[in-house]
Amino acid sequence: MSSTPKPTSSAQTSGAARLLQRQLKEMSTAKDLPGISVGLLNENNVFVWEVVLMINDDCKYYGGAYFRAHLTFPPEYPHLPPKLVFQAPVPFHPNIYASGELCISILHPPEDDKYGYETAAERWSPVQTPETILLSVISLFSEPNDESPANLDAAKLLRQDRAGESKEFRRRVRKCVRESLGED
Amino acid sequence: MPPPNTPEEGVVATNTSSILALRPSMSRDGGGDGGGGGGGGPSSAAAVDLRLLEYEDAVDENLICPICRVALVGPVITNCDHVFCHRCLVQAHALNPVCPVDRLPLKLVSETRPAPKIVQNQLDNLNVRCPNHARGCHLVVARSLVENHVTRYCDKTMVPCPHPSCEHTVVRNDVGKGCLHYDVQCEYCEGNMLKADLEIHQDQKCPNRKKDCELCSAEFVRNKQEEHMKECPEVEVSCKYAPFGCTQQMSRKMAEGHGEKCDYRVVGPVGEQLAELRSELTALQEKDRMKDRRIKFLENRGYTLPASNATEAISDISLPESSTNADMAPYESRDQYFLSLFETMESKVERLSSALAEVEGRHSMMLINETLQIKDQLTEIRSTLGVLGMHVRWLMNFRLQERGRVGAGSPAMPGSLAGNQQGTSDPNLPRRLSDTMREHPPRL
Ligand SMILES: [Zn+2]
Ligand SMILES: [Zn+2]
Ligand SMILES: [Zn+2]
Ligand SMILES: [Zn+2]
Ligand SMILES: [Zn+2]
Ligand SMILES: [Zn+2]
Ligand SMILES: [Zn+2]
Repeated sequence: MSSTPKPTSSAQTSGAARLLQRQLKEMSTAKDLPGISVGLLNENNVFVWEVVLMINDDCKYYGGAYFRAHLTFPPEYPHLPPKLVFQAPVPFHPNIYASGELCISILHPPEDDKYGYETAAERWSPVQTPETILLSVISLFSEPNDESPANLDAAKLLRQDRAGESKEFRRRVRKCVRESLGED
Repeated sequence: MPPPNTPEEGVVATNTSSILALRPSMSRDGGGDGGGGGGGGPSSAAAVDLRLLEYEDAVDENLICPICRVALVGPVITNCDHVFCHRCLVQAHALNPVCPVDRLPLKLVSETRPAPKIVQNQLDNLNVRCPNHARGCHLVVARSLVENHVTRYCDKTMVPCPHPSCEHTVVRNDVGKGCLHYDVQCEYCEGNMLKADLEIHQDQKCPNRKKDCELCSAEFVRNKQEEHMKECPEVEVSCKYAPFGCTQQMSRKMAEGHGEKCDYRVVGPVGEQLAELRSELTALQEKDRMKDRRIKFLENRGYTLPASNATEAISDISLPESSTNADMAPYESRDQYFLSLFETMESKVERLSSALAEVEGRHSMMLINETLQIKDQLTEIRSTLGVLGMHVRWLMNFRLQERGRVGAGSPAMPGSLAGNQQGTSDPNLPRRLSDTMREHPPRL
């Protein structure tokens, strides 16, 4: 892939910046995005978004939570995917590293080999938008994926929970949900 | 009109960038093979980056590239019927050789072709603003013509300095003025700059240069024109009650006077209050939502199963089924669990007894109401009965008297009744027919 053209010229950067500016505006004025709110972390940098996800109360494990994350776009956006990093309290979730970074297939660049088990079909495509990304993230809270886990502990406990062997997963999730609401 | 894409990329761009310094982020579109033919010469092809244009009207969704999300530039269509800018698709394809929309494998050369002419025509006809807008050209023109305008006609396009040894560029308007690339000082702010930049500086940036307003002839700093327009007394404004329906336009200084006479001023305060209340309401709703969320969350912590280590110990006690809500957080200890269970029961009992008391109260109230009515009715009936009795007695006496007057041989009386009455009531008759009765017959 070394021959791949990856222009990071100022032209590309400003193209990405304009695209992001438009998408930010569209998303902040959209009315049909319940539970998602977006803004810039720093007024002068359109490449880093601050995202708040309010998880629906009906959601099995994470209902009622209020998670904050930073969505960081590369200069090559939309040809390369952004990165989503949850801020403290980091959700206890099979697909979120302790560092807060989210591991979800649609955010993996297609040519990257380290996620060999995924088919390219599930990976990043330049027609994805911040909106489609965040909707996938929300659905990941409804249905955590215990294959290819980023948090082995969480994945193990989730499997035990699903098998009815232990309630430890719920207990830890409720704790982080409480923390996300600013309690204890 | 051929699309502005040409096969050249990079090389030409660097050679011509000094001439074509339209914007700091000049970039070129290299989608010639997909665009259906090359444009003019190399210099004109690079003059305008169609991706940077500002569109006068909203662009139809079908003409927007799903990758860069602006109006298509050099549109190509895939065999799976998806349309992209040629450049966007080439870039995406280099990273992942599939169609970006449906992710089907895609061969760039054999499975894509230029988009149909009708799409190109629609794109060509979109109205755009001249990219020299910032330098003062306010032309709005069809997208297919903007390049021609910029390269040949626009006065505000940057062109090479006419001086042979000068490397700089200059606005086309100033070409006839010779080389303007020498240092000058702005007479207003004393800042140093090139002569070529002086005009724009004094027009738009100089912090000291004053200007007289064309409307009110007040003096203001030239680059503060917009701010002055916001307060200039002669600028046409709409009535402050416009949101409530007033359509009048007048100069700002008249607006005050009109406001006092405006037919809509009655609605004004109400409308303002309404808007205020509405915003307050949304704020409260938002707050309410957050509170609800918290309450729900806190509620979820009640009535739950004990932690897994305690399940065994109490498994022989039959637990009420309603308390085993599996989705909620477990308790830390058994005691805590029973305590909470006890508390719940207690509150339930309390609730039940208060409900009972309420029901009782309601019942006795109902009874009292009913009996009172019945009592009233009874008295009424009793009095009617008394009246009726008196009537009957009066009538009877009247009859008997009549019969007594007519005598025993009267044939008018039916035999059995007459005989019966004669036998039983005859002896009492004189006593019963009192004078009072005759003088005051009962009223009916
Ligand atoms: Zn595009
Ligand atoms: Zn396709
Ligand atoms: Zn122009
Ligand atoms: Zn010069
Ligand atoms: Zn000046
Ligand atoms: Zn004025
Ligand atoms: Zn008015």
